[in-house]
Amino acid sequence: MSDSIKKDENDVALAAEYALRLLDDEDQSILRARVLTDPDFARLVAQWQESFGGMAHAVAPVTPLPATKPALEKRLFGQTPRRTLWNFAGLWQAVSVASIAVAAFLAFTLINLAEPEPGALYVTELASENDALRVLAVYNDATKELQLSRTSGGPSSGRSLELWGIVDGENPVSIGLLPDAANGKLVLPVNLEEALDGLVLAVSDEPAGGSPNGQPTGAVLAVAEIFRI
Amino acid sequence: MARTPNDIEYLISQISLGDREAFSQLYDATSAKLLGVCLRVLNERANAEEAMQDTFIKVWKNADRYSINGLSPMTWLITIARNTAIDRLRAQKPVSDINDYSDSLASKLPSPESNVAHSSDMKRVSECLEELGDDRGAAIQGAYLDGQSYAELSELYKVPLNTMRTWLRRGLLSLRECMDR
Repeated sequence: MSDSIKKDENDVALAAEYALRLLDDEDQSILRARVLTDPDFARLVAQWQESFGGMAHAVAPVTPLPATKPALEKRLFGQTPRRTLWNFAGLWQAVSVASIAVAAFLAFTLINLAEPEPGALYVTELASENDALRVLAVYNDATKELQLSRTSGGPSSGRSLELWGIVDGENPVSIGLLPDAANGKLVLPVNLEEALDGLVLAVSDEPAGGSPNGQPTGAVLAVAEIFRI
Repeated sequence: MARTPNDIEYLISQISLGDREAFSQLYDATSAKLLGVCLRVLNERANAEEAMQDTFIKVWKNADRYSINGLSPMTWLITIARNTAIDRLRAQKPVSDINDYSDSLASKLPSPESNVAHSSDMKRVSECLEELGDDRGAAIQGAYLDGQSYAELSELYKVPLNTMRTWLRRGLLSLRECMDR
């Protein structure tokens, strides 16, 4: 390096001026052309950029506003790349037989306590990836009620958890907010009632009071297909 | 948050494959620093946030060209952020281009050592700026961190532009000499 400084101090200084953007537009674009055509000059510029970059060490980091990242991802990817319901298709298919069995057992326990003569039962367990949220859902055909039993987790502060029913190929339909209490009941909308076989349930994180637009807007925490037992 | 240059480099290489999760991680690891750099140039929060977003968009679109540009990963990111902020500051048609720091010409840069050099450069550059004396050191720092041009510096220091240029060039050559020692 010291050789090339002796050889051409002018280039070394020019490369620094270019890297710093000290010159006017015209000179700056002349040098830019040179960066693109003259490897030695490009090397000098890169060396300066590396040296000057050390100055940024002294610049205090400033945490961006929380809204900036989703805005950026929306600009780049068209939509906030939250997990969509369909990304979870693989997840719920992978739900183990064991957990279905447990859900079924719990369902009988629940139903036996509540209903002396249950109709057809449909059951599933909705569990988030890390099991932070677990909800047992049991639908009783006789009472048309969906019994929900939250065994783990709940909405974060100022948020609500919303339950959705998804018929294959159609948009999610809101069933309602998960009850605040660990155990509660919701009524299935009629169109879901008629599509119980293969019905998928999902829980999403929503603003307090639920999704403002009738479709999931927040992260989908758990998805599972409901099974007749 | 603490990431080594190797981590950052790995994330950039994943981003070049279209890995959104890596992009998200790179953002989490570096956005505060890059926003700091943009804010230093622009002095206005909303504008700086925009410049930082533009920076990450350039990163997403040009990550595949990182490996050939001869810069250490943080320098690459900081250089893009600074130039993007200066474009905004000067509110003109962008003069800087991603080519400036990622063109394949630079692939000829012999820089296995430049990646290693970065952390020592950090200390070295401030030592050398100190050695230059207050005025020159401050002027170079102003040019880099605040994005001041010769025209602005000559106004600030109340000297003719050419005088400013001669004076600062001498400082830059001394800085290079010190950095290379």
